[in-house]
Amino acid sequence: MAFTKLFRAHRSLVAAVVYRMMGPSADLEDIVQEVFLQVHRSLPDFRGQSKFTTWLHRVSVNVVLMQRRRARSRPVLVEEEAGNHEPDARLRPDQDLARRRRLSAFHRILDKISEKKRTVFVLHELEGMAPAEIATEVGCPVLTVRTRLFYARRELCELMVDEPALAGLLEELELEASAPRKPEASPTVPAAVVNRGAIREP
Amino acid sequence: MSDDDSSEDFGPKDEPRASSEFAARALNRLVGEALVATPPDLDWQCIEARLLAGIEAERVAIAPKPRGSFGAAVSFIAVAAAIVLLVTSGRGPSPTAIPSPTRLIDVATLPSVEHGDGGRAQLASALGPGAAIETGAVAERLVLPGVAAFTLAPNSRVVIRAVAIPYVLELERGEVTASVVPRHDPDHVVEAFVVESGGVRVAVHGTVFSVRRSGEKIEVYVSEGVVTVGP
Repeated sequence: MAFTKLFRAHRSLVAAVVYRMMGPSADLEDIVQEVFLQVHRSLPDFRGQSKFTTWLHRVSVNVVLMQRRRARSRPVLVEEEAGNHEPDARLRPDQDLARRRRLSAFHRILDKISEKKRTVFVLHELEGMAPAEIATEVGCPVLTVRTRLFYARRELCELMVDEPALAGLLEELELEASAPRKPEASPTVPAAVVNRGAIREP
Repeated sequence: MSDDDSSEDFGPKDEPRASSEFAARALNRLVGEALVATPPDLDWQCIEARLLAGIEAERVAIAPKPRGSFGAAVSFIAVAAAIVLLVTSGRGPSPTAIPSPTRLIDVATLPSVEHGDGGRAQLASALGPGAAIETGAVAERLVLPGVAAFTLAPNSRVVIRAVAIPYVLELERGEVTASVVPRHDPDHVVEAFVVESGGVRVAVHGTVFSVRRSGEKIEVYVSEGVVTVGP
């Protein structure tokens, strides 16, 4: 079945979008399924004017936003179970645990700001959408999008202090800033190039 | 946090406090971590099964409602060889209620083409809805290129009800035996050929089968493949 192939080819992309926008959510599977149901319904309308993945991303975003609107009247479980994730092999267990706690805390504070601000913040910062695109998506002027973005950032910064998992991150950054800088390992190589791992010997 | 946007269109009036510089950097780091966070392993098999079931449920929901009084209680899928279904119909009208007037066609006037093992058949593709075909003492063989070939047994009568896909024949009396060209669509089961009789609809998905009508009794013989029988 052609749609099954399409589902298998793109399910990871959709799951990633839903996960970024929703955070550790018990509804992840349901929302992914809903996205593909919507894709199946809308596929005849896809005219190929954009890349399929761009269209799929837009459908995923719309479904997530719709789900959040529906869920507003219901209690939302944002606390993730410790056993829900496979540990990230690149991190030590304590680092991985700290990262997962920060991620949960991040989504907790995201859920504390207004839905309008949360939407523009998530679409811009996590989904990479430009303010003009977001304005079209949510139906408001671009300036309103920029303003909501500004206040969203400010409120999130204030809320971080009250989250123990994030307060620790703040302290860590302050300590890093006050510590004396280490000398560069290779002053001839620009730091940006080092970070991208693109060093080649001449 | 306030959800009031009333002042937002005037733009930000103040910058984040200088003391929140670290908070801003921390927020950027959180965004970076969220961007690379990978979702937990999902039960893809279960999601796929539920998804396909949901699609099928929607497809059924938007399909035309059964027109007969049998309801869902009399609906079969007959598979494979020599299965005989006996359906007693209490109703006369065809499920496909197309009010096209019927006109009797003399089969001998239809073009004759070679078909099968050196035999000949009458080309039925020129006939439109409402065309009725009757047989006397001799059976007639008709062909629809690319769709089906069917044989009308002696003393039988059919009326063509639709010539698109599906091609719909109404069997008013006698027996029709058809060999239907299978149609492969990866997304849907295609009903290429349908025989309706006495309120019973036999939808064919590429097969060899017969439908016989004796008064109110409908018999369906499936020699190969799959047919769906329902109201």
